[in-house]
Amino acid sequence: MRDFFLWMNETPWSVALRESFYVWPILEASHVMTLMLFVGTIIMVDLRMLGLVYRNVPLSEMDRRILPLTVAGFILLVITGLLLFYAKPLVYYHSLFFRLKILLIVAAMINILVYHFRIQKDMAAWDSDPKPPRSARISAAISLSAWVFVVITGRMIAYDWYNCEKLDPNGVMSALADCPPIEFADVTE
Amino acid sequence: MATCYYEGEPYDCSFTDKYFLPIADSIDQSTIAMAVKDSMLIVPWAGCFHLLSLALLGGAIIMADLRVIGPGLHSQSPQSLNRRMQPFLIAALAVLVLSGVMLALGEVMKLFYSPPYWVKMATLVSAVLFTFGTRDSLIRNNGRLTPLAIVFGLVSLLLWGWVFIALTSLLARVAFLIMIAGLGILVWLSGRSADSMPLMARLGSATTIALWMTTAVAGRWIAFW
Repeated sequence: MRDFFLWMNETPWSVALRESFYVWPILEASHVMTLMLFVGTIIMVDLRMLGLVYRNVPLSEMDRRILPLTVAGFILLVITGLLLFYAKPLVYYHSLFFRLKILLIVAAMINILVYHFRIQKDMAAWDSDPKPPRSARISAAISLSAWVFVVITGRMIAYDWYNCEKLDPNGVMSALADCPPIEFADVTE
Repeated sequence: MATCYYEGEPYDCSFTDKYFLPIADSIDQSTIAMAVKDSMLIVPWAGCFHLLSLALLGGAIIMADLRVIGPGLHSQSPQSLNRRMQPFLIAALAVLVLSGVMLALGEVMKLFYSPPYWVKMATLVSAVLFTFGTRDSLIRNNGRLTPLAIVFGLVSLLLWGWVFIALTSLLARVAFLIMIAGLGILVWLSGRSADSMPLMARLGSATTIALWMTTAVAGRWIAFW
């Protein structure tokens, strides 16, 4: 997989993107701004599922009226995120924070699938309840904390504390980041 | 132009350098700024809290103001949504300011000479004045402008207009005009639905969204300057 990203790193478009004066900052800024749309709306949906706000609004109305905004935000985040990754594939590939972030996103996705296919099945029975059943509240709590930590790990990618060149080459962290042998270490940047 | 002194020797400098640089310098050398700079963790964590509260602010604005110009919970009145989102808005703003101060203390001298930082400070003031002085009153009074709301709105928009003319780059202006056009289309489209809010309220909410977006983008741009 590293070889693939090594190749991607050298493609002309990838080089152009990371060296561009405006496109990289614009992509980065859009990625962060879309956070307001995606995380902002998912916070509200999760808080409703926890029974903390909008207790008189049926969950189905949140699904119908607010979730499309969340999904739109997610699509924008994925597009800008993929482009950002494409611009610096090796940097992100070896970043422990990035790896953790992807794991958290996968966990959040699994949580969404479980909610959608298992918990939501009998939603008609508790759609208008001010406080949804425990299973739905647990799912909302998982979702909320997962996205909070996705934001935190995303921000932390910018810091180099755990980059390959700072890790013990024989340590666990180095293995988790799939760091290249020391003589090729300069290739990660 | 003003005259500054370096080791007793006079030289020409700007008014800003003469009167405000010493202030920035003393903030930069203060105990708390030193502590922030010495700590490896304060700035990264302040960054995380800044982002998370930005998301919360976005959520509160979207629930309250996007409802006024279209998408949102139409079973609830904009007044009720606005009232329920107010605590979230204020809490998010408090965390944003607190974490923002921490971030700023870490790089006082860089920010002193950073145009995006001053654009952000000006648009922040303009967004706060407009949100709590004009838009809040517009929603509560169902689109009717009170004299106080007019005063707040004028001060806010004049400040913002000055920033737009005096401080921004071509790229920022183009981006902003595209955003205005998008929000304008939403304002126009939402006027056609049966339960639409009066035009003034819709314009107020669209302006609020635009002001917070400029503040957030200018904030992100500090890092790229």
